[in-house]
Amino acid sequence: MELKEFIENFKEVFDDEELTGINGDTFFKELDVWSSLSALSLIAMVDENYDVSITGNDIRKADTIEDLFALVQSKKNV
Amino acid sequence: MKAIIKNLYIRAVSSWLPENILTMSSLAPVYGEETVRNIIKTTGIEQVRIADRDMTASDMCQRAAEHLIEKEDISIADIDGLVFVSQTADYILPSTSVCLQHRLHLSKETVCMDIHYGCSGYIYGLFQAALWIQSGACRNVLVLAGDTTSRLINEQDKSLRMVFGECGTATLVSAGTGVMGFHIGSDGSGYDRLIVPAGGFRTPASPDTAALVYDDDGNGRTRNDLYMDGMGIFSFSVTQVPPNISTLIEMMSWNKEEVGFVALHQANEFMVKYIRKKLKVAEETAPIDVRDFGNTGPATIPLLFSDLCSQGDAYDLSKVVMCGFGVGLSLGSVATDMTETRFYEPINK
Repeated sequence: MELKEFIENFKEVFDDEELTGINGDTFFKELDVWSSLSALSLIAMVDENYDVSITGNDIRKADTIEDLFALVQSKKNV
Repeated sequence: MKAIIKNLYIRAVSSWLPENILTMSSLAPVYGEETVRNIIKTTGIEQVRIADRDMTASDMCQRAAEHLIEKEDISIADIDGLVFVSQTADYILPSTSVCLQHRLHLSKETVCMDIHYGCSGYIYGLFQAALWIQSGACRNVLVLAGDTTSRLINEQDKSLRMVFGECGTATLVSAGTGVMGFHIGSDGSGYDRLIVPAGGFRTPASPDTAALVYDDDGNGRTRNDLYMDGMGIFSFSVTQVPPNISTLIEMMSWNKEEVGFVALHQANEFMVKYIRKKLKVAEETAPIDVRDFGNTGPATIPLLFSDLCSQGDAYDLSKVVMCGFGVGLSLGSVATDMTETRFYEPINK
C-alpha cells in the first residue's frame, strides 16, 4: 500500500469538501473540516479499503496522516 | 454461542411511544446551528420521544404489553414467563420483571427475570424466552424491552442527547412449530466503551463522581452519566456484526439472497447504512427507521417491526434476521420465520 493512495482515500472521507494541500505531514485533526463525525467515516474508509479495524484510541493517538498510514500498515502486517 | 431452538414462534409485537417530542433543531440555540445540522446529517435523527419524568421504562413496556394482550385476546392465565430487558429498571432491587407480573395481573406461577442489557438486549430477551419454551417450562413468554436513556445523559452532552430516544415494547413468544436460530457473542474488553462509570458498587456515586468535566469535543458529563465512545462502538459494530449475521445465515442453511427482512439495531443512520453496505443487502431489505425515534436502546428492533411491518405486506417475512449490538460489548442475532407474527402499530405514533 502507498501513502499517495492512502491520502486520496483520506480525502474521500470528506465527500463534499474541496481539500487542497493535504500531505503526509498534515495534522488532520487541525483541518477545518475535521469533526468527531469524520472519525467515523475514517474508520469506515480504512475498514473498506484496507480491511483493517482502527479504534477511537488509534485516532486519538495519531497526529498526522502519515501516522495513520503507518498504523494501518502495521495492522495489515500483523 | 450458537443454537437452533425449535417448536416456538414470535406471535406478536407491539410498542408504546411517549407523546413528548424533542426535535433536534430545537437544540440549535444550545449547541450551535451548524453543529446540530451536521449531527442530524450523520445520524439521520430529526426528533426523539422522551417519557414524562414520572414514567419509567417499565411503565412504557406495561402499556405496550396491555395493548398486545388485549389485541391478541390471550388469557392472562396462559402467560407463564416474563422477561424485562432494560438498563433503566425501576429499582436497584427488586427485579422490575417481578413488579410487572403484579401490575399486569399475571399468574403467581409466572417466572420473571430482568436482563440488564441495552442495544443488544432484545436478542437476549428472545433467547431467554426461547429456552424457557424449549425446556417445557413455559408456553407463552412476554419479552418487554425499553429504556429511559435520556435520564442517564448529561444535558451538556450533545453526542448522546441528539441520538437517544425512549420507547417501550412488548413481544410475545409462544410454543408452536417454528424455529429460531441464535448467534450471540461477547467482548468484555470493551466494557468501558459504553458505560455509566459511577453509581454501582465498584464506584459508588459521591460528590467526587458528580463533578462536571468537558471533553475535547465540548461535551460535558459527570461520572454518574452515560459515556459513549462512538468511534469504539462503530469500529466494533462494523467489524463484528456482518460476520455474526453471515455465520447465522449459514447455520440456518439459508441463502443471504432469500432473507426478506434484516432488522438491524437502529443505532443511527450512518451506522445502519454502513453495516447494510458491508452485508451487501438491498436498502429495502434492511430499512432505517431512526428519523422520528432515534436510538431507543433495547427497543429499536421491536419498534422497527411494530412500525414497518404493521403497514401491510411490504416485506417477505418468511426469512427474517435481526441483530442487536452495543453495550458490553456484546452482540447477537436471531434468524426466524415471522409470517405468523402479528404486528401492532406503535401507540402514539
